[in-house]
Amino acid sequence: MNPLLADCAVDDAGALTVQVYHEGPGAPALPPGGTLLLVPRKPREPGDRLRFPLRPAGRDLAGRPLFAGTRVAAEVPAAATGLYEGRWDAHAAFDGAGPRRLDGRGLLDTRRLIRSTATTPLHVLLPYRTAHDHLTVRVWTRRRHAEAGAVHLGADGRLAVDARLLGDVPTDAPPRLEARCRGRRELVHTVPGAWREGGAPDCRFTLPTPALAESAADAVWDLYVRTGGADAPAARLGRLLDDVHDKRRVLALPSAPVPGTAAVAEPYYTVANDLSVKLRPATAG
Amino acid sequence: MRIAFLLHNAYAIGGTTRTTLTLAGALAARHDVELVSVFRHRDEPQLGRAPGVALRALVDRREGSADLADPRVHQPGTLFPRAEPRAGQYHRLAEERIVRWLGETDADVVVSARCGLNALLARFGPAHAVRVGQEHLTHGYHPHRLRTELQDAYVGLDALVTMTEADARAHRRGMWLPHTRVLALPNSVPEPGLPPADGTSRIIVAAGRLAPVKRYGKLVDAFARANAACPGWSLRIYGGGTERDRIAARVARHGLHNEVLLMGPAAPLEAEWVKGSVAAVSSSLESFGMTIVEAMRCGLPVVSTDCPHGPGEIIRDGVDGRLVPVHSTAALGDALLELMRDDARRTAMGRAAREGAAARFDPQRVAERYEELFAELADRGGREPTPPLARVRGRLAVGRTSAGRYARRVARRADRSLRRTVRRVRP
Repeated sequence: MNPLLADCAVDDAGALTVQVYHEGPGAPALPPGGTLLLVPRKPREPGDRLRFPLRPAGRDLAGRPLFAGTRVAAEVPAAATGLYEGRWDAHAAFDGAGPRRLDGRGLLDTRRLIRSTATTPLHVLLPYRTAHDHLTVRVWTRRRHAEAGAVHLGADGRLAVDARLLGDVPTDAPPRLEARCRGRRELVHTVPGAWREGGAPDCRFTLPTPALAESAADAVWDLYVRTGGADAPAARLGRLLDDVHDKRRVLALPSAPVPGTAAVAEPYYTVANDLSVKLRPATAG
Repeated sequence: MRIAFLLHNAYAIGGTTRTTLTLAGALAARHDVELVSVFRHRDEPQLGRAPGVALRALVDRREGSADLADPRVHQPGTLFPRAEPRAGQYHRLAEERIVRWLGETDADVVVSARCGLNALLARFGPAHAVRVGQEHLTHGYHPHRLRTELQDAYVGLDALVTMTEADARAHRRGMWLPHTRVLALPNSVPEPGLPPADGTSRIIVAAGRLAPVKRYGKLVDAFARANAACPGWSLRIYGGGTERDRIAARVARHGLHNEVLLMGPAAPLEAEWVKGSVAAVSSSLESFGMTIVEAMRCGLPVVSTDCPHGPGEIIRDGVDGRLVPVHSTAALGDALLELMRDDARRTAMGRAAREGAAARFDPQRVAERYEELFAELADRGGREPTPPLARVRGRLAVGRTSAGRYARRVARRADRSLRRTVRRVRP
């Protein structure tokens, strides 16, 4: 059976268009009335899945006219009801046949996801090709978010981070950076930040890693930004406004020894593209 | 016309396979086109099939195939040029199948797509057919021994197609082919399947294997220079390869880990080119420069070193990109900076790149040029008899070139050693 390929495009509003077609010449026409299925890898409720109708497409992504029946397309709004954060595998189902996994080797036009700001609450739909050549959509939904900019780790062990606050974060109080020790909720380090030259919502923080190493030298510290009092909500620091679904190798941040200790500090992007700092003994790995 | 393409492996990923699929697909609109792959190692071709083009394989290398049980796969071949890099794969069975197919085919034109196959086509190609060999690498790339073997065989070709004019000249100079048309026809690149770049992004894109010849370390240096004068841009390098760690170390040394991203391999690349607004090439050698044409078709001006062979023939300096001296990192950085700073110029060059590449490298346009060549060669009719002493004269031509090249190498080495001595002697 010919593979079912998909071309995808994300528009300025963050909505995702998925065009489904058969690979190769002489492929059978696609019947109308099909359905695009998004199935979460980690369902919150068993059997969770979202359905979007596939309708005949008149043009390809470049706007060139198509012969009838060669492509069908579905649109997934950025804030589609029931779409929550995580990975969603894409399938297509046509009348009388079970759903088939979509092939991810088509064109994925994700250029609109590379941007400096976004409407909030934040909804990011990033289609990507998995290691097994399937199409999956990475979804982030955040009411508040701190978008990480440049990250520098100095020889003095100070980690400088630029950030832009998005969403439900008040900007009338000064921003603070919180480093929370993963697995040990009582360990929290807070450093004050400053608004950058242009003022809110752009801010900058300097986190001394020696202070972290003193309390837990073999641990992961997750970074949050908070404005206002201790009961004000915190935004996770991370990098979500681009097209890179897995930053671990693409955006490798340099590590450095923590002065005055036997630890090494390693800022890194997590599998969810959030920013964390790992402290580990210098001898290991 | 019945046209047959003979290629090493149509089932694998590779530049030659890709461009042959494109060309065959374009010719299939008006002709009966067949793709003959010497080897087949998987069920389906990784790059897909060209619409309307028949595909067959001569030797089945898939696990458990009858061909693998044939004793002739363990006997070395005797006909395929021994100095060809792929010679080890051309066993007796492969050679016999190729020669048999060449004897049986009723194609009016046979096109072979690598030098070793050109040699077999020239020797065993059907008398009634037009025989066209393609050189996807370059004459200068081949060692002396291979050039000698090719010289002996190529006198039987009706035409030899190179990817660049520079390489056509090198073949005319370095070989003696009295009855063979030696000409350049570029690779073609289809129109991208998504809207072109609009020049507004602040991203420079480079794509290729992370191999020493691509000199991405130098590109990182050049970008560092441009970025210091015009911050806010990033450089994305797509591709995988052995140089990755070294390039990453160079990025770290410049402290540019926030600006330079090593994206890893990506396909299809069109969707990645359109994220940029300038394409960069830092190679010391490009036998053609397929990625340059791909970037241009996506609407990007290309800043490239003026290395042999392709860039200078594809890019029109100052119109749809910039050409800079091969060994100047500063010039590469300055040319990038020029386009980073000047939005209007960048956008205008991007538009010129897209329009120019569509006119010169569209598959339809390139297919028409092949058709003209085929028709002309078919009209020429019967093959000229091989001139007397062809073998001797051919060997002399190859020997002369190799001697010249050898002499230049000796001179270069002597020069270098002299400079070293002078440096040592001077206080």
